Amino acid sequence: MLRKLSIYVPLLVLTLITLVPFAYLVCSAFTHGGFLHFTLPSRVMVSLVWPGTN
Amino acid sequence: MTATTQHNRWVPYAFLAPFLVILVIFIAYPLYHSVVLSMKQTFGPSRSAFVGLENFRFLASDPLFWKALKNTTYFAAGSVLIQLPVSLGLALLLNRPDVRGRAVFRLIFFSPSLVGLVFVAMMFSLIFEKNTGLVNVLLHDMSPAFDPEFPWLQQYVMPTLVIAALWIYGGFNMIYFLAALQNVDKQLIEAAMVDGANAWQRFLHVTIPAIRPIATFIVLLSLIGSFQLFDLPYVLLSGAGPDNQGLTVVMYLFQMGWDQQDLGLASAIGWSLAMLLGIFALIYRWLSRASED
Repeated sequence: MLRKLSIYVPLLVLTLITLVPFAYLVCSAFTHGGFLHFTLPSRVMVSLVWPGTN
Repeated sequence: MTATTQHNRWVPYAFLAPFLVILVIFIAYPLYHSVVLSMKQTFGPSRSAFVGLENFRFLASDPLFWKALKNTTYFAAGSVLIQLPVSLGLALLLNRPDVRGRAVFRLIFFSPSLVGLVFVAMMFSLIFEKNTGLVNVLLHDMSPAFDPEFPWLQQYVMPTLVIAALWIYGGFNMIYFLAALQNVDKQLIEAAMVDGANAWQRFLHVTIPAIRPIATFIVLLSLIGSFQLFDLPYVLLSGAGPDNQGLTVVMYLFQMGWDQQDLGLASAIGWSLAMLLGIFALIYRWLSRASED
């Protein structure tokens, strides 16, 4: 069990670290001032605004 | 000598001619011209004056060049001392036959290499932003004592660049190590196990010597790539950053050549960098020969 944990815990932590920037980027695309804000038409942006952000 | 023999004598040269023409026009002449240019002071492409080795003398006493070299060396050291051990660790984990989903993990870790450097730089400029950046928000949530205005991109430029490069190239270098590990002779490892060697001893005395040629090659590639660093800090910091903290040698070359219009000094910087990388290549050659003996 401990052996399995010593393999999968580092792998999962590093997977998280690798994927979080991608996820952050996708989320920021749906917020005002986000990364893709200037490349998407404003009407699309308004409909896609992330809940809880202005 | 018959006409046919004479004709045959020129055939190899005729086949070589296209390559030689391209080599001379696109490689040999530009190299020669850049050597000549490095001995001139220029203002744009049309006005120049021969100054001998003055550009190199200027660089030797130029604090900005030394700062750029220091920053670049910091980044290269970070790449070699942090990035490569992480890549090797990942490769060792994903080389185990008992790990489930190895192919998925390999794809995930390799995926940052598929994204362009400019794109990554823009992404990390958002992530390391003061107050609203993901890193500061997460660290502040985990420990309220952490200042959410922690100035990553203002005061800790080089560590930030090392972290960004680790994210991009960690998985890329892992692929090289993985290829090297898959070529390690399994019989040697089994023999070491029979002799009573533990995992650490097998790694140190069997795996490391077996992967050494590829490992030294990865170190050389990583050093060359690190010393040519330009686009990541240029986009991440919109230039050299506050107080030139993110200034690298190639960025300094760019500034001299394009902003200051001194192509001669830019060539001298380029040749200084080439000589430095040449020294690394010689050390690599020496290490490779030593390991072969």
